[in-house]
Amino acid sequence: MDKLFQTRLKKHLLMLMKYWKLVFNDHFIIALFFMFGALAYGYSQALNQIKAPVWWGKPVILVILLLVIQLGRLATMIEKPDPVFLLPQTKQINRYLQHAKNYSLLMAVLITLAGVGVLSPFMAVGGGMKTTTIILVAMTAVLTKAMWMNWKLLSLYDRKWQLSSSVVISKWLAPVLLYVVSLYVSSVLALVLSIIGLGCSICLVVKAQGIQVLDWRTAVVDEANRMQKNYRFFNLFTDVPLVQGTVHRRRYLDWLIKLLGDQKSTYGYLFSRGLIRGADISGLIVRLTVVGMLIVFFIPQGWLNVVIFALFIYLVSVQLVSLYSQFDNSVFVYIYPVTNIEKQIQFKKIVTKVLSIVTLCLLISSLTENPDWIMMGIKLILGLVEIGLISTVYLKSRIQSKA
Amino acid sequence: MTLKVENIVGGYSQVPVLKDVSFSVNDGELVGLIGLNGAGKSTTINHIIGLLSPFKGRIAINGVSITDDSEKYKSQIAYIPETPILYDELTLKEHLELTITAYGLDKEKAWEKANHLLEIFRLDNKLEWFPANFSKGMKQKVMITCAFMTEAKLFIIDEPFYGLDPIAVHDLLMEIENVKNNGAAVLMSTHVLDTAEKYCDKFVLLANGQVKANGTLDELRALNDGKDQTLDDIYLSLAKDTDNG
Repeated sequence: MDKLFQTRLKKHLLMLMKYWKLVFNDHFIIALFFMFGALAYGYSQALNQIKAPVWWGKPVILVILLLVIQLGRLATMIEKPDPVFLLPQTKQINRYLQHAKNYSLLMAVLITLAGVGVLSPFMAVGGGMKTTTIILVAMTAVLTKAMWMNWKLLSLYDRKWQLSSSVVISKWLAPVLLYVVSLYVSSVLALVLSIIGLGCSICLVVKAQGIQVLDWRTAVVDEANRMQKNYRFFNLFTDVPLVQGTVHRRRYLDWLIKLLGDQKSTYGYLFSRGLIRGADISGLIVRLTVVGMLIVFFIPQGWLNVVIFALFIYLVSVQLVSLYSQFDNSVFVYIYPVTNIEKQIQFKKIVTKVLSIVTLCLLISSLTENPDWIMMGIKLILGLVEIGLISTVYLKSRIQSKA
Repeated sequence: MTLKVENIVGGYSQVPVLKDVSFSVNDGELVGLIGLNGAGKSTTINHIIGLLSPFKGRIAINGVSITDDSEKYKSQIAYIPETPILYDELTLKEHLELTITAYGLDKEKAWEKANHLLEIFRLDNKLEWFPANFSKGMKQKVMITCAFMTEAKLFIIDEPFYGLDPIAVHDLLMEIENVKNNGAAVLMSTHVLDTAEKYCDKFVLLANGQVKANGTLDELRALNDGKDQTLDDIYLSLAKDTDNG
């Protein structure tokens, strides 16, 4: 079992490394760096503004700590065939899971410490906390995370812990209590309480491992979900073959399907449905558009704003490229008596429509109390020219490079 | 003469899987394509439906080959794959609508046929479901419905019987009979030899990418000089010959 865990961990890390390498190669990450840089700069500027502890300081700290503790999940690395092949080893798997928990906890503790580290200047200024208090809060946060991880492990043995009520209590309510005590009552008391809590959780896990067997089905599903989330993250930057988005009917969007695709054409029919019902591309486009709208709204109207406006239209169009080949692995698109030319025409149509909607959204978010109509005009023209260029020159070259 | 396969040499890479395959399927005929695993059945079918292009030889449906006019060629084919292939994003109803759109069918007539088939297959109450979540047999029924609602001249059916319940097998054979009577040609690959023996008009026996025998059951028997042999016997003896040869 020890060996099994080692090989699994190695495989897992190699996989992560492979994808991280791809992520850092992508031009998109450069944009992200700029955004992080801007955020860090904004944070330091904002800290300078705060002179004395503010009333909303502690509530904000509480919320951020709560969100940070939800990061870093239990990575069991259990695979789908395991329930069949490891079934005779069901008792020994406890050892394997112990390793898995230790590894996950290490990662989670690093994340928690990083979160508290980033937050500590604000804790000192906005929360008016002393250095010793901050260290005590950080220790409480780490212990709470360890407890959090034990609850998760426990849920793989005991179905009681899978109920949503117990998930809310163990993952949200218990940390809230500990943090409230830590921030408002006494950080020493909170540390003591979290030690007691951790002790209880360890006892419960040991007890459950003694009498109950691993709930294989849940373990497999949980791990698959976790990996799926990882893959989806990587899929933002590069093509991950293992990402299979789930399909939703989304009946309330049927009007949009009709609007986007020519329903009398085979490919119009397919593209519009693939786009709206699949989670990946449409989700990404919606998120990008919302982020773009926020940035365009908050950045003062000017040339930088225009550049970002154009950049987001381009970013959305990049996401649309994969729609073109989404149906290529179905033999039927080859058997239907339809031509490739029709496919290209319909793809161009749907891309133009989607980009027009995105451009319209970005334009709306550019409206301020006193709109600069000349700037708006420039943006409108720029947007139209960009859509024209993307739907003809850019996409054609992308499609050809794929074929 | 609906489907004419002439001297096809072809395969997936440089190495040919099919070595000089020729046969034909006439209007109103059900031809069984018989062969062991790896004999070249699916490869032959992939060439006919246009997924692979042959190195040599010509395949024509009613005189049109895929290089002459690919749209006209493809509009004459309906295909039922060995494993059901469905769109994750489309409901059952939308699969049928897509088939109507792709083949440019008359809506009313096509729906009439489709409703009839859906009723037979007890799928008529599942129109709004995503068939990607159906069981294997039900998916196969969706594929059958999509294929038989077209007005294709040639039906290509790859291993249709796996996963179908006995009633569905019977219903499928009835449908095949139906389109045959309307003048369509059917090419069906299968391992289920006793069913093939009962229902097929002619057989093409493939082994090692070559046509070993071709004709009606009586013609095959004559070739193998045995009077009361079943298709099973003929096939086994032919397969043995090939092994030894």
